[in-house]
Amino acid sequence: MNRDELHEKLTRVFREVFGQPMLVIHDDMSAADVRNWDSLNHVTMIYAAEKKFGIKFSTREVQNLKNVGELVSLIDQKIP
Amino acid sequence: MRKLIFKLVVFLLPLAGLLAFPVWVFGVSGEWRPVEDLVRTARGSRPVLIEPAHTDLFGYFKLRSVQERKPEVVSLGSSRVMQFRADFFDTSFFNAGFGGIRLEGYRQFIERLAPGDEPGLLILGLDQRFFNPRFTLPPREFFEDRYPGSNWIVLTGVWHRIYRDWWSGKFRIADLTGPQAWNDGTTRIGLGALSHDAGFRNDGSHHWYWWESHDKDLKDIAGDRGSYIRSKSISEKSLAEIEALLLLCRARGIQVAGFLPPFSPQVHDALKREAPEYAYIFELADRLRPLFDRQGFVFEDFTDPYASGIDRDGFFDGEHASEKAYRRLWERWSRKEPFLGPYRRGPDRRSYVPAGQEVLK
Amino acid sequence: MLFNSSAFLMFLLVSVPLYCLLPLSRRKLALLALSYIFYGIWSVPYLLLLAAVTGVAYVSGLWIGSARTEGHRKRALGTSLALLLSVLILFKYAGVLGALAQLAGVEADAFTRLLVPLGISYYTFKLISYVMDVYWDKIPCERDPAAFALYPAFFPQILSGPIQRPADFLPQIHQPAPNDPGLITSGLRLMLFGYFKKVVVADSLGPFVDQVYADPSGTNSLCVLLACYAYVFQLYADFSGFTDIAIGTGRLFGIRSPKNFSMPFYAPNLQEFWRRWHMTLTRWLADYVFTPLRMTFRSWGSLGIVLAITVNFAAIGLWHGATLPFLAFGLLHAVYMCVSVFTLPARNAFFDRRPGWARARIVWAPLITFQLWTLSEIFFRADSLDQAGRVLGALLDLDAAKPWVFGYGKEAFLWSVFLILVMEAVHWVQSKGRWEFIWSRKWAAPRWAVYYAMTFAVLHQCAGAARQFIYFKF
Repeated sequence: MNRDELHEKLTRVFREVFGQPMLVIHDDMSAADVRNWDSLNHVTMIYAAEKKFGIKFSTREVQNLKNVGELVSLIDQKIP
Repeated sequence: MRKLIFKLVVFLLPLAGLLAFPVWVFGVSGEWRPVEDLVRTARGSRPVLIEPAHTDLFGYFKLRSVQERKPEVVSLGSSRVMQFRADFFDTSFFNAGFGGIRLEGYRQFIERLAPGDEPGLLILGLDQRFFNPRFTLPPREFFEDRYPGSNWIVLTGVWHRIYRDWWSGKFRIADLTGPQAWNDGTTRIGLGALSHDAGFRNDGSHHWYWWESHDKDLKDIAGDRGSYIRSKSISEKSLAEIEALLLLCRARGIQVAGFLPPFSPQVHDALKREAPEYAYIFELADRLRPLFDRQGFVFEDFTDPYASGIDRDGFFDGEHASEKAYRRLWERWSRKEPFLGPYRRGPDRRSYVPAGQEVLK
Repeated sequence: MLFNSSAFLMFLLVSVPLYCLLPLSRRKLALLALSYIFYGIWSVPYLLLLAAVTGVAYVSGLWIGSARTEGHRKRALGTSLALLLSVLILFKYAGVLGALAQLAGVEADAFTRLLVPLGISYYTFKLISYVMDVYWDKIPCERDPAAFALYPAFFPQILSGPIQRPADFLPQIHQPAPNDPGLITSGLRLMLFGYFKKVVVADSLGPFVDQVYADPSGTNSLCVLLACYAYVFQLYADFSGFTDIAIGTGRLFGIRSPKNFSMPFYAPNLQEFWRRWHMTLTRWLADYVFTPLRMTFRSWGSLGIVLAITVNFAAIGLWHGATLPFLAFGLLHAVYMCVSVFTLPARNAFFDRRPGWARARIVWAPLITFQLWTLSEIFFRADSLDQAGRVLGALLDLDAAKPWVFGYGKEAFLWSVFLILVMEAVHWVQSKGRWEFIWSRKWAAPRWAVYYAMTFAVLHQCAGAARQFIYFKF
């Protein structure tokens, strides 16, 4: 899976979890930039991403994510 | 940084300037002295007069004094018991009365004495108004150190009063610096002691600075207010409180001599004139005596100054008879009641009162 | 040493100038010494406890940092968490544990009389956050024992927070900044405002609230409602005042602390409210309790969400004290949160379709949130569920004949309302960031007038006992 495909899939996850059908994500985006992205929905989003990409995150990895860019890189590393 | 320090100093300067005079007054007058210090000074051989104007620690002062001295005889009650002098007694005595005590305060006082510190004889002054169901006061805590560590904190709330009092002449600078303050043999602590020659003495009795002042009392009687609120009935709650108090004293091995303090002739006459309205006063003795009898204690009703023989001994005001009057009351009472006799000081016996503090009025 | 004691002010008066004169390299040790002296004045045995617990966390950090396998790391984390939490639970909930032990027939009298160590909730939470941050590789382990010891013991924060994160605090200790007069001035200002809030605003509301809570059925329901609102503001003034004093004091020593409050009453919903009230505690729980729980239960769907929320808020309740009313407070918020979380998307969608209503929502959403918060505070304030029940009952009792009570009187009550408005005005200006702008204008006069007014108000209130004195003899 290349980066664009990954990006697109993740966008769909974000739009669904945060209830924003028109959302566009970029690497510098973080929780502060998105309505409804709080600690609760953060994990909901993580879980949805796990299911979508067939991967698993650890709590440590989740705690250390600073922005969308890092999340994308992390997913990229984990996809077999 | 230097600019900051400069600005801080400039900011604090007016504050310091404003507080300088009150701080000086507070310090020089001894208002700052904590209770433990007062207790210790009063036990010394030098005569003292203690009357702070701004700190409210009299109850605690009296309690600590009794705890430290462990006297054989204690008189407890309001300001109407403060005329008992060490000179009256043949053994150690401390007057633990203080103005503003509530009826519940008596029991709280006894409860705060450690086992073994209790007096052998407790003289209870029971103000008639405590038994008036219409006379209510909000509850207060008397026996705690209100300003633990230091009284200086009080100054933050009263500094402006000090200015006002000085301006209105309630005290003068000379009172704090003049000969009276420094070398007349009596240690005066507090603005009341320095400017009015009033205060608690070493034996806990209190010296008032007015004399034969009855107007306020008479006005209150006419106006049905203050201590002279009218009532026809006696407060059962107060009687129950007395009963509990007496039971506690019995349990603690304290002998009790209770009395109703006298009114001045002027006030007594006024009360008698309105008699049905003040029925509770005149029926009180009959309700109280049985409670004391039941415990084997003694009780006396001195309400009527004529009947008590003190109508010519002088009164500070309508409620406070002179010390001479109380001495006469004590002499009569202790001769009448065998159990009080041993406590009375005979004429050839040593006086417990330092020179300069004999019974004057 | 409490913040509103002359001893504390004397302590600062001596230590701040000395600290500012010290070379930067010595400041870390000086601050540690000051913090330990501060705590030791209260109790030396418990100071040793603090040092011991600090030592445990320090060693754990090193152990986790140097462990080679994941298994070792987990073991190090587990051991330290177990130790830290058991110390906290042992001391903080000694009363409850003792009572339980007695139920089981075990003699535990001395245990129940254990004094709760000052600040144990705060310093334990700080140490837990350190250990977990090291485990999660958020920060490297701290090797400098003095710097590390200062983290939980930093005296302005030890009494009541804010709970600062190690990543935020430790760098400030390692690279102390030179004396910053602007920071010190802002610290002094913040302290003055903090004292004003705590000593003047909060204490003026106290008598009214106390009187109503002592006998809720003795007054009419509108008065009870006012008392409930008054309590919310009293708690806010008291706690935010305390925090301001803590943050301000920290600034005197060149340390910046995180905010704990940010205009909470303007929050449109309770999730947002918690992000603005006792912010450092909320964030701590979110990072170290809620998120790990959510991660653990992420495949459990809604049940997982409910579980995580319930544990999180029960913890908030019990963190304040091991009593039923605090637990009720926490659980009530758990219920609020679950309902809010599950309905928020629907609510948002509803208002997205109705822009007119959405505009009104800006006004009444915070009002509704405030009502919900006030309701929960009834439990927070109550000494027992029984008393909370009586207050609730009195609220619903619409007997209009019952009298009004006002604590010290109607004037005193109106004065308190005025003080609340003053406090909120200052908060509003602070939040807009215009505080520094207005306050650094040329004329000192208006600023200083406000400072003097606040100083005199604080001084006057300090001697509260003196005010009630029946000043008659003199």
